[in-house]
Amino acid sequence: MATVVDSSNPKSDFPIQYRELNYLNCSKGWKSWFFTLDHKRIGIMYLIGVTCAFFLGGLFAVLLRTELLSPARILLSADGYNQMFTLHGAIMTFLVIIPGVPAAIGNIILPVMLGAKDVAFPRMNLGSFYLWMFGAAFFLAALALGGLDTGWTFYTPYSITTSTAVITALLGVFILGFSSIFTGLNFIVTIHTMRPPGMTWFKMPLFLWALYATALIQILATPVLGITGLLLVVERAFHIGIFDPALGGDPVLFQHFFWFYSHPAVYVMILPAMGVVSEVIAVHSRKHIFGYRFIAYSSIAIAIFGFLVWGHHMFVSGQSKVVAVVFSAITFSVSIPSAIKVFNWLTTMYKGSIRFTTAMCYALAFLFIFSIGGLTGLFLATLATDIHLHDTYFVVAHFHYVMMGSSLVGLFAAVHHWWPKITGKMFSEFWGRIACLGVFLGFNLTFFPQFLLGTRGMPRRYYTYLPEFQNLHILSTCGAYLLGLSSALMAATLIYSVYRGKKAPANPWGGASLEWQCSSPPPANNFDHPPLAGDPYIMESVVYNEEIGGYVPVECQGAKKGSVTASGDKEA
Amino acid sequence: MNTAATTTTDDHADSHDHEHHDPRLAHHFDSHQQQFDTGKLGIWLFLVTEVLFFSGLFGFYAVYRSLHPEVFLYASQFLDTVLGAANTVVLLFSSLTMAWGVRCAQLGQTRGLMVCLVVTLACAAIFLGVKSFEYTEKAHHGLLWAGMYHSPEHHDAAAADGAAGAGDHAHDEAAAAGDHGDDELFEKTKHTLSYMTTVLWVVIVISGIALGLLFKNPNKKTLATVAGCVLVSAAGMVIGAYSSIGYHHFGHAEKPTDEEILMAETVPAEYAAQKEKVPEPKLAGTFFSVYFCMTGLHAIHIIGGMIAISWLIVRTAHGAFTTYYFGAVDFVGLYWHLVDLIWIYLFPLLYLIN
Amino acid sequence: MSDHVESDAHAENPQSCHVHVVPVKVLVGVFLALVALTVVTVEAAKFDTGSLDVIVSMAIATAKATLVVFIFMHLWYDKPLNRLAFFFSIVFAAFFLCMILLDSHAYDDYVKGFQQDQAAIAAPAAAPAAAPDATPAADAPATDAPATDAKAAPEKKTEPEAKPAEK
Ligand code: HEM
Ligand SMILES: [Cu+2]
Repeated sequence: MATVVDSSNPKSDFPIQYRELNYLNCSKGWKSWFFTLDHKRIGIMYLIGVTCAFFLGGLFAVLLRTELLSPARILLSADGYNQMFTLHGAIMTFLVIIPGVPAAIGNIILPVMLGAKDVAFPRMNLGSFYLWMFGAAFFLAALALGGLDTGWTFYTPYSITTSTAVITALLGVFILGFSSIFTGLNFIVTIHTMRPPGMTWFKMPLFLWALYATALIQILATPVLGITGLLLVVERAFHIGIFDPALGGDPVLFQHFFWFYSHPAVYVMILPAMGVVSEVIAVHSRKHIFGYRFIAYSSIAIAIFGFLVWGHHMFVSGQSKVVAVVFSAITFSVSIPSAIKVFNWLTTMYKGSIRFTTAMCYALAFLFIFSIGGLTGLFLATLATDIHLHDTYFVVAHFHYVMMGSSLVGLFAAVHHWWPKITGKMFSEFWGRIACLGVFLGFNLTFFPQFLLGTRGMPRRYYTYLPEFQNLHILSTCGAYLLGLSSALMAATLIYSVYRGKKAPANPWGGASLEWQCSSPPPANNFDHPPLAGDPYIMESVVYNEEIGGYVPVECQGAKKGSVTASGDKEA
Repeated sequence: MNTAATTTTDDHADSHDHEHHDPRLAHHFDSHQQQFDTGKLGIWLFLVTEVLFFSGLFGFYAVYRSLHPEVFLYASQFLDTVLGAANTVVLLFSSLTMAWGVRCAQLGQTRGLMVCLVVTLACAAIFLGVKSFEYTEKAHHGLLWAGMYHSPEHHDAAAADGAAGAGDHAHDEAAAAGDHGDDELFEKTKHTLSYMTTVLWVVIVISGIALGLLFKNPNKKTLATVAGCVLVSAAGMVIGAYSSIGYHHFGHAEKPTDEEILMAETVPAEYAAQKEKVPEPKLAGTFFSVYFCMTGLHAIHIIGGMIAISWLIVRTAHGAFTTYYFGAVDFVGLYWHLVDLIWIYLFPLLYLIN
Repeated sequence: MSDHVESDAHAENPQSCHVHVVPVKVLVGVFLALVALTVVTVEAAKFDTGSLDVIVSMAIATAKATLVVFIFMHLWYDKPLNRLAFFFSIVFAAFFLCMILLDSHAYDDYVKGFQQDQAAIAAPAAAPAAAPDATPAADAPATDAPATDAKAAPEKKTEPEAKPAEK
């Protein structure tokens, strides 16, 4: 008890890592969580929410795949199938992947990594979480009010004429959009105005660059989604004739509006995951990241180029030919910055001392899967090929490779990489790696057959199919089961560690960025002194210390424990 | 400013290197300058999202105007330019007072700030009053969005289904009927509005009494100021509504001059005179869809702004703002100017199509 | 506590906040100019200048907007970053508008064709396939017919879609 009292006294020279108070235990009671303004607690609440949504969406996915075991009816009616895939898609995109890395992990890590005490607008941050909850409630309400069968894309004119709960779902999307805008706005302002002295733009870890680029997209694209949803609500409720051809409206205009947001939104999903991978690969290869500036600039380039390609979703919608050609060309060029990143990651690993920790395994899985996902995007960006492949399982496989296989696997990597920091506990590497292997195999087993199905002409969003497709569908369904089990195993491993895990040292992996310099879990205020930022990728600046079981700054190695302090004191 | 959760965390963090216990400075900022700059960037980014939010509606406008220019030409003659212009001036004036208020806040002139904010609030309310007159009138003419649109060519049979059938009315007949029906419609408009104003009068009386009762009580400052804000808003709306009714009456008292016809008054009689020049196109309702979407969303922003301004008034009454802490005034001001800015574009785009 | 990166060194006194204060004269002057421009734009609209109309009224509106943005909103005196953010958003919105304008003009004839089809044949068969991509080649002649009055030459429909459209 005495130590606790002592350590909470800031005047004591007890090193910060050994203080018992952290953001998790500094205050108690449900109020201290639900009204918290601490970015780390808000991030945790996001993480929990996203996980619940993920398992709900996953349940829908398993039901969908089960139905597709045979062309005949198994579980779901045709209508039920339509509703299932719509809600699966909507939940996974709007509730899981978009807030996944930025709002959950980014919220926890961004200010710590930056060396700030909090995000710029803590109240807005909390508001954004409540908006997320609110939006999720609208989705559940849509489910209860008769479901939704338009597909997550809400294409008109079907979404105007269907009898399902389109308005409720759209209001949910609208609200979730604002949640996302608030997060993005907060991140941009934080990165601009809350950097401590010495933290220049090019000393920022690449995860922050990625979050910054993401936030740019969130701010610039999401309002358009908001107004699109609102116009569609008004169209359905009052018949204003903007998208409804029966009143002289233009349904293709809806697709323009929708994809103007939703293509950039796919970069909202992938960019933060790319940032995570940049961190994870550098830290677990114990090597300075290769081509720092290229990776940083390519994030911004992706953010900007991402806005110029939305028309590639509309190649067969009646879009004009000139516009289609322009969009096709720009789509090709947008894959260049992605490729730059991939090459830089590979080169970072070259001659590094790679440790196959769980986080690294997920990062490697990301590399493999993202390469396939990105390259198949190029097939789809080719005008003539897309005529054949549009609206087939090929597209389904493409976007699952990039959304599930890359964004979500990136989220998994992030969770494992920062888990010791977030919870202060080490998880079982063994079970973590098993789960990772399961996710990787299950994923590829699920979605690789879908490429084959797509090229052979299996259309998407059908609950039945020709008998010759059955073998591949069965393979795919088996993969889905494996995937579901592995993610459950992953969750179990992590949750178990919270209760039974070893206590984590401040720097278990040997990262050099600022978040590893405060204790695990960090104190409520992150840093008492603004930390001194150096190059975040000089892995030689930390060395392993047997006694602590983690890494310590070189200067402190060999000295007595007392000198291992927070970065603010490092130089002293 | 902090909730319970963070105050506890502040206890042990702030004590040694943050000597300030300035309640106006949030715990994670080092100086007021930093706090102000942060808020300023935040509000500008918020305005960016607002611009893009409205860009969807401007896209709606641009696409349909360029595809169906005749619709816009035809339908915009039903909008009253004078009312639109008057509203523009009212909003511009509110922008002036808001900017002036920011200046007062920067200089620490609390009294001036209070006056400016109240005037701004009143102007916003007047704007809404005029707008509600316009809406009511459009509604009675059946000039609604595409799904509800009733062609003015049979507006005397407004109850009938208005799917723009090819009306074979003799022109003079329609003109005569129009003249007659118009008075009736105007009465109806006034009727609906008088319901609204009755409600507003009740609000005025209640909030006036509340203000009177609470004014002297120093413990009820917040409540009293809120009552005052409600009073100003309701009174502003009544003034707006009545002056547009008065204006309309005035316009009817004398015979319409050619100029007024050119200015495209909202009078179907005059429209009848013009009809030969501009026949009613198909899809005329689309214009009113655009009109109601754009002005409606704008009006929602005005209401949001009024709430924000009321909040500023309450805080001013408590003396929250000082020469180094006036960010909130500045930020609400920026928002208010943006709302004004959007109207600056909406006015010519909707009212001044020739 | 040392001063902060982007808040330019007022650390000596944390209770200060340096901003530009606009004189009352300027504020009132701007207001009067705005009112004058409003009158001008109303008057200008009375003259029939044909297609110049939109340009004139938009030019005047932009002049007014510039005054509001730079003086009332202090953007003239503000940090470059805030200026950049705002102008970027406008450029961005303009880009969005241009693209959808460009495209919706290009397929307008199909939309018109669809409406005429609906009017002519009361057959609702084509109704769910409202998106022009799904109207099969069969109705191509009907699509081309109304284009006679349109200004833009109709593009030949070249993509006979075999796949089922997006549902
Ligand atoms: C690397 C370069 C990429 C290229 C060239 C590319 C290209 C394309 C193209 C052309 C389509 C349209 C296919 C069609 O509907 O016919 C498409 C669909 C899609 N892509 Fe990508 N893509 C890329 C990366 C990504 C990423 C990173 C994500 C998400 C994280 C993503 C998510 C999607 C989604 C969700 C769809 C289908 C949406 C739907 O119709 O429901 N793509 N992609
Ligand atoms: Cu895309």
